[in-house]
Amino acid sequence: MSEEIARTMESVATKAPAWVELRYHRRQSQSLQVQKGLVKQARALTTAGVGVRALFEGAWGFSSTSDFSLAGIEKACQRAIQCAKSISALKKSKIPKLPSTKLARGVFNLPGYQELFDMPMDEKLHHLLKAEKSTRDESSRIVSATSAYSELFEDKAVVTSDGARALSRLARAEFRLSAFAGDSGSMSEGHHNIGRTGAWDCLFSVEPIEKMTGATAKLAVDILDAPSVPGGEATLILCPAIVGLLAHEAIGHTVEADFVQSGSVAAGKIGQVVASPLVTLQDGGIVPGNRFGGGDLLVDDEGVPTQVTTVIKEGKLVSYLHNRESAAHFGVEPTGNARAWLYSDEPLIRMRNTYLCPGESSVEDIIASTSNGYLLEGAMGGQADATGEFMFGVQKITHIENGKRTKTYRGGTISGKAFDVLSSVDAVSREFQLDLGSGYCGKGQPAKVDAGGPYIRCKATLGGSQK
Amino acid sequence: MTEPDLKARDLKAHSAELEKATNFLLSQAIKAGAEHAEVCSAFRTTSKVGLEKQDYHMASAEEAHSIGLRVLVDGRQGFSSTNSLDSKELKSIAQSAVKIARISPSNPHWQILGCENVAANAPKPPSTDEIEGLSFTTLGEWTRLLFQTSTEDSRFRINDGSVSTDLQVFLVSNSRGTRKLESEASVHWGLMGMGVAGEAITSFDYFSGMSRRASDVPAHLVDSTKAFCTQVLSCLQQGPATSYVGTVMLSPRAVRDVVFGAIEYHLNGRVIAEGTGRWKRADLGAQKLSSQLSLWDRPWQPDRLGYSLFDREGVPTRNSVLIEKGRVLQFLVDSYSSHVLDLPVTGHAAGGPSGPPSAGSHLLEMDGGTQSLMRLTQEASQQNPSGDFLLVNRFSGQVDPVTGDFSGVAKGGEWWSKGEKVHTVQETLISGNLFDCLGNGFVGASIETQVLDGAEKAPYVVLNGVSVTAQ
Repeated sequence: MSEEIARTMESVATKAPAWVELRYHRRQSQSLQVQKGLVKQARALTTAGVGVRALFEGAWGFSSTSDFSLAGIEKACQRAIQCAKSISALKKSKIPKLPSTKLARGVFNLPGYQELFDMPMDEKLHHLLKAEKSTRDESSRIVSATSAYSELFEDKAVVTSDGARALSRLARAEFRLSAFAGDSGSMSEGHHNIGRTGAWDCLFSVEPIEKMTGATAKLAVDILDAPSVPGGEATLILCPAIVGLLAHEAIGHTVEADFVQSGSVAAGKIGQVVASPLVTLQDGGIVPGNRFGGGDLLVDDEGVPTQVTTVIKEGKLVSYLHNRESAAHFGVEPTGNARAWLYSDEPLIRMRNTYLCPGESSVEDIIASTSNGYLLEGAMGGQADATGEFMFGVQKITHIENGKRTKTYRGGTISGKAFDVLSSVDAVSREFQLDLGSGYCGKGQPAKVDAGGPYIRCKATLGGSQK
Repeated sequence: MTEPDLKARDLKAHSAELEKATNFLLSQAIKAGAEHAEVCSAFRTTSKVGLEKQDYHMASAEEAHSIGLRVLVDGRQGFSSTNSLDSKELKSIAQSAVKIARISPSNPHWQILGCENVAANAPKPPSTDEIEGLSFTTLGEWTRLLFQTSTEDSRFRINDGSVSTDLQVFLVSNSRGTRKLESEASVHWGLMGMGVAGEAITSFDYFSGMSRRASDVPAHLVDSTKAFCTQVLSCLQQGPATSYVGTVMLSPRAVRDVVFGAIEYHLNGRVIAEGTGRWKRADLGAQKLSSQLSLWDRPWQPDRLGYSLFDREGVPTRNSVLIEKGRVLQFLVDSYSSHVLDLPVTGHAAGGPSGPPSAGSHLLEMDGGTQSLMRLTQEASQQNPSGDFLLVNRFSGQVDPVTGDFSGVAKGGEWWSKGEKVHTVQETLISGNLFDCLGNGFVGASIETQVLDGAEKAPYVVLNGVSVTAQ
C-alpha cells in the first residue's frame, strides 16, 4: 500500500508548480483497559490519509485528504498551493527556497512491528487481567487497580519534490498500571507507565511485569498516610524519569528552533556555558546503546534522516533542534526533528528521545554523600515555558539525612529555572534509563517522545507546605 | 488575496453522506453478529490562517470524516473506528468491533439505549449559514486584525496564533431507534506569546476566543486580544514574593484549572461506580463543600463551546445544578454508570466517534458569590496577618483528583498588599488540599464572573489554607 501510494505521490510531486512535500500516513491503534477484573475499554482505531505541504511564493500552505486516488492527491496538492498563495502577499518575511540537504531514500523500518501485530489481542488481554488482579491482591489497603495497554502501528511514506522518498514503519507499545489505596476516607494513587518502540517483550525488558505490580501497589500504600513535604529550595536527587522531564520540558522546548526564533531563553546562547560541566544533553532518533526508546525514529516527516544531536556539551550550549526551514535560517544542517502526529497535521519541530548522558558516580554513592536532601521518584506531568521556568509533578519524595533515607512524603511539585538548575548539578550517576516512553508531548498536536538520563543531584524549589 | 478552491461547505450534503454511511455501518454490525450497535459519526471542515514568529505562517484548508461503532455481543462490548466512509473499510470496522467484543469478558453493565427526543423547550441550534458562506479573504482580514492588535506594543511576541472557521456535523444513531444529528459552525481565534523587554521575559501565555456569528467577530477578536496582551505585558513588572500559608485568590481561569477538573472527577458516574472517588452514591444530597459554592452544567447555551442538545449516546441534555450551596445534587451519569448505580441517565455520556462513550460534563459554570471583586481582594488581605496575598492568574501544576492535593506554579501571579496590586511574581508555587480549601477554607467568591475561552464560566475565588512557596 505505502509503495503504491508513494508512486502516486511522486508523480504528483514531480508535476507540482511549487516545492511540495506529500506524506502518506496510516495509523492503526488498539487499546485495552481493565479494572476490577472487567474490561472497561477495548477499541481499535484506524486513520489514514495524505498530508500535503507546499512552499509557494515564500509562504506555506497545507491540505490533506483521505482519498488516495491520483485525482484526490492532486486536488489536495492544488489546494495546499492555493492556500500558500492566499497569504503570500501578506507575509512580511518570505521563506527562501529550502537549501538542498541529505534526504532519505529507501525503506526505514524499526523492529517489532510484525511481531506485535501478530500477537493475538486476547493474549495481551490475558496479561492485563492478570496484572490488574495481582496489583489488587498485593495489599488489603488497595481498593482498586487499573491496567491498560495501547499500541500504535505507523506506516508512512514521505515524498518531496526535491528528492526525498522514504517509506517507514514502526510499532509503539504502552503499558500502564494504577493502584488506588484507601483507608478511613483518605485515598492515594500509585502508577507505573512504560512505553517502548518495538514488540511486547521490550515493554518488560527493564522490569518484569510481576515486579511492576508489587511496586505500584507499594507506592500507593506508602504515600497513603504520608505527609506533605516542607516547601522551599532544597538539594534534590532526581530519578531518571524526572531528569527526562527536565531534559525534555525545561531544556528541550527552549532549544526547539521555532521557540528560539520567538525569543525563548536559549536565544543567542549558542557557545555559552549554561550548565555544570557534568551535563551533556542529547536528543536522538535512536539512543546509542539503548534500544526501544519510546521516541525512536529513523526518518523525520520532511524526509530528513534523524541523528543524535548534542544540545549541551559538558555545560556549553552547542545546538538547537531544527527542521529544514529553521536550519536554513540559522545556516546549519537540519537535525531530523520535523514531526507530525497525523496525516492531517503539518510537521513541527519536535523532540524524539531527549536525555542527559550518564556520569561516573553510583546512585547509592550520591545518596550516601548527601547530608540533607530529598530523593524524588516517579514522574508525573510537567510544563515549562520560554523563560526556562519549569514545573514537574512527582509521585514520591524521600528525605535523605546524613546519607540515609529517613522519611517518606507524598508527591508534590518541583520548580526552577532550567539553566540555573542544570548549573547546580554536582553529581551524575552512571545508572541510565529512558523512562518517559509512555509520555506524549503536546505542542498543538501530540507527539510520541521518550526522555531520561542518570540520577542527578541539583538544587531547585520544592512546592510543599509552609508553617 | 487569492481565494483557495475550497470544496463546497454545504453541511446538508455532508449530513446526508454521513447518515448513509452510518446506516450502512449499523446494518453491517448486525450482519457481523452484534446484538445491538451504536454509531457515532462526524464531518468537520476547517479553514485556518496561522501566525508564527511575528509573521503570517501558513494557510490550510481541510476536511475529515470520523465514524465509530460500538457493539454488544453476549454482554461484551467492542469498539472500532475509522476516518473513511468507504464501504469496504466500514465492513472491516464492523468485523473488527465484533471481534474485539468476542475476546472481552462479559460485563452486564454495558448498555445501548433507546433515547427520548430532545425537549421541545431546548434552545434552537444557531444557524450555520453565515459561517458556511465566509470566504478565505475574510479569514485573512480577521487574521490581519489579530496580528495588528497583538503587535501594537512591540514588547509582545507572538509564538503562534490563528483564526479559523470550523463547521461540523455530529450524528449518533443506534439499533434501538435512536437518531440524533446536529450541525454547528464557529469562528475561532487564539494566540500564544510572551512579553519581552530587554532581559525581562514573561512566561508564555495563551488565550482563545470564539463566536458563532460572523458579524460579532471583529469587535470581539480585537477586545479579547487587547485584554490578553495587556495581561501578558503587565507581567514584565516583576518583584519579590514571600513564602506564607494563608489565603490566595484564584482568577476565574485558575478556578477552572484547579477546581473544575477535580470536582468533576468526583461527580463522574464511572468514578463513583468504581469506588475510586471520595463520594459515593449515598452522598447524593449530602453537604460536601462550602455552602458558598454552587456548580452547574449548562449545555443549553448555543453561543458557547460545549453547547449540545444530546450526549455521546444520544440522550437529551439539560441544564442542571450539580452542587447547590455545597450539597451534591447530581452525578454525571452515562448508560454504564446508570446501570451500576441504579440511577437514571443524565445526558452526560462524553466523547466522540474515535472512542467509546465515557462520562463527563458539557459546560461547567460556578455561580458568582456575594461580594464585589474589590471587596474580595480586601477580604483576602485581611485574612493574612501580613496584609499580603498572591493572586494566581494561571495555574501550571498538578491536581491529584483522588487525594485533592494540588501543587504547582502560579503563572502571571500578582502580589497584592492591603487590597492593592503591587507587582507580578515568577517562580512562586502554591500547594494545598483542594477539598480542605473548598470546605472550611472557602473564604468567598466574587459577584463578577468570566466566560473562559468561549466555554466555562467562573468567578474569582479566595481560598484559605494554601501554602505559598517563593524562591
